[in-house]
Amino acid sequence: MLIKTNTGLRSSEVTDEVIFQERRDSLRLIGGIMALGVAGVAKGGTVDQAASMARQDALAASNERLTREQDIAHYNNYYEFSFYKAPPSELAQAMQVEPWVLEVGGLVENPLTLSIDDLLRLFPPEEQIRRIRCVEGWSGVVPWLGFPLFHLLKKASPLSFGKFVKFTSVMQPETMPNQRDQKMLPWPYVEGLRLDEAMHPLAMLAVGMYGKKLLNQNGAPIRLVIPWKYGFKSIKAIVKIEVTDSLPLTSWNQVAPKDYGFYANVNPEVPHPRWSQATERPLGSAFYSPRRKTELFNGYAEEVAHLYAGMDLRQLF
Amino acid sequence: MMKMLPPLLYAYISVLRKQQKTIDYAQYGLKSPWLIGLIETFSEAFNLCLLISFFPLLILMVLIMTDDLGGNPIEAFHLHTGIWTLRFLCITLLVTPIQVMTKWRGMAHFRQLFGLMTFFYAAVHVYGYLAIDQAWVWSSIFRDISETTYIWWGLFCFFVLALLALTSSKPAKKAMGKSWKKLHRWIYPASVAAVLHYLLQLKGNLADPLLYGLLITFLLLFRVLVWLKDRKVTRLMIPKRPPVEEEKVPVEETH
Repeated sequence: MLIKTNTGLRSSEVTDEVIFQERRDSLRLIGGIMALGVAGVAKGGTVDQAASMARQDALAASNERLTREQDIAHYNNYYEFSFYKAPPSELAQAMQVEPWVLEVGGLVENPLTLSIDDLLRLFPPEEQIRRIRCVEGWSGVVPWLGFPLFHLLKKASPLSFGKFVKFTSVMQPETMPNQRDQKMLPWPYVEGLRLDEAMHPLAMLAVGMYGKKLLNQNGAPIRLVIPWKYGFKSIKAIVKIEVTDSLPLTSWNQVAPKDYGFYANVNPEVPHPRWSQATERPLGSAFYSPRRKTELFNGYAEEVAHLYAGMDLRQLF
Repeated sequence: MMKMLPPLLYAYISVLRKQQKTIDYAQYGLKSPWLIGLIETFSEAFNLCLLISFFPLLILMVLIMTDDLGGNPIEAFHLHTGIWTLRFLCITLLVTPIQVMTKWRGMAHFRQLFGLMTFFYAAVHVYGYLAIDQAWVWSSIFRDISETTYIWWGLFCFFVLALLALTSSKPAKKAMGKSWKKLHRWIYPASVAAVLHYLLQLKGNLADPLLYGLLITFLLLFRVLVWLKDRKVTRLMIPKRPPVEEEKVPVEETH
């Protein structure tokens, strides 16, 4: 599992009551996902146990603590709903997430139109614990449920001159106040990756977290998780994935290109024009606890650094 | 001028100006000297303001103890103390306009009180950054400050507030003479810096800092208007004279 393996954490620290409870939850979670229509993983308890054991091992091997689910669920950057962190957890309940159609198109051989049930059948979700680091300087460790993006892309089969992947979020002005009032960003929200980035096994499409379906405020029903990039790259509520031959114009990059680059790789050595990125504040951390040192590529350098070989990360931030 | 003020403000100022009357507490069945003392103390506007000024701190304490600061409690601490610093700064800057508009004097001790409360919340804010957030890790603090430009504005504001707090006492005012007023005018650039400090740290949600920016702009504009008016009046009071030709003083040549 790919959380960083910097040791220094006693296993007693991660095997506390909360984590144990989360293990129990994770057993239930997989049950829930199966109820969503995943017949393929239905091998009974052994798979569930394997998943929770894997989580246990991953946490024990790293010096990480899982972020509390309540913190991840009530501290959200979801600008379609609100510019504050707390309101989306309530406002997003009005969102329509069923039925949902995900289109995969652009420069591909087999354009696809899939429901969430189709996706779950084709790509059985697995639990992956990933670090998330926001460009604002806070971070978390989240057990996502999802599948690698390249599985879906391979099925659509990008054409040889496809170079980028563009992701488009849902347009739902009737439930999203800031879309209705056309505030701040050009809606719908758009993100993008280079095709080789999108094909990396760490690039994930998530449908759940903490053993349950994704909550609306966390990007239901399907979102991107790119753990080595700042959180705004991990677009929520995706309706369209297109392979393109030119660099997609992404939302934050369009509004403030000097502040938010296309790559947005986590990098402590490249400060934001107005603030340092050297350290981060893990969500839910106690008063007087030191800030965490931010790592290059958010700790996933070993896996992804080769994608950027020879690139000036200060220029292409 | 008074009639321009909103009724609530008018009523409040009237209370401030009212002479203390002796009240027959026994008439209300009050005998406990302790309770009477309490009522006497806080029926005085100044003491009441002092008491109320600590409410935001009390609320923060309660939120901390009940773990109600949300997913990022340290950030919530920064926001709470920072915003209350700005609010007290606005209240402080409001005292002089009220004084001028009502032509009442003797509110300087209120201005001093709110000014000191501004410094108090700013100090808690800075303590929150150094201790609660950075845990006194100086290497991290230095790097963070060097790379985080919006902190520079905050620091500038805090140093000005500290200087003004240090020189706020009556003896200091007396000792400094004319330079006291000069020094305390630094509150104007400091208040602009405080708004910038708030504005520049955000990703896009600028409504709140812009609101405080607008408030501060009005408060500073008031001073500009008064200054312009005073200048005009002064010019009218000085009788016009033809310009006096300067006497030519022979310059001694030096070699």
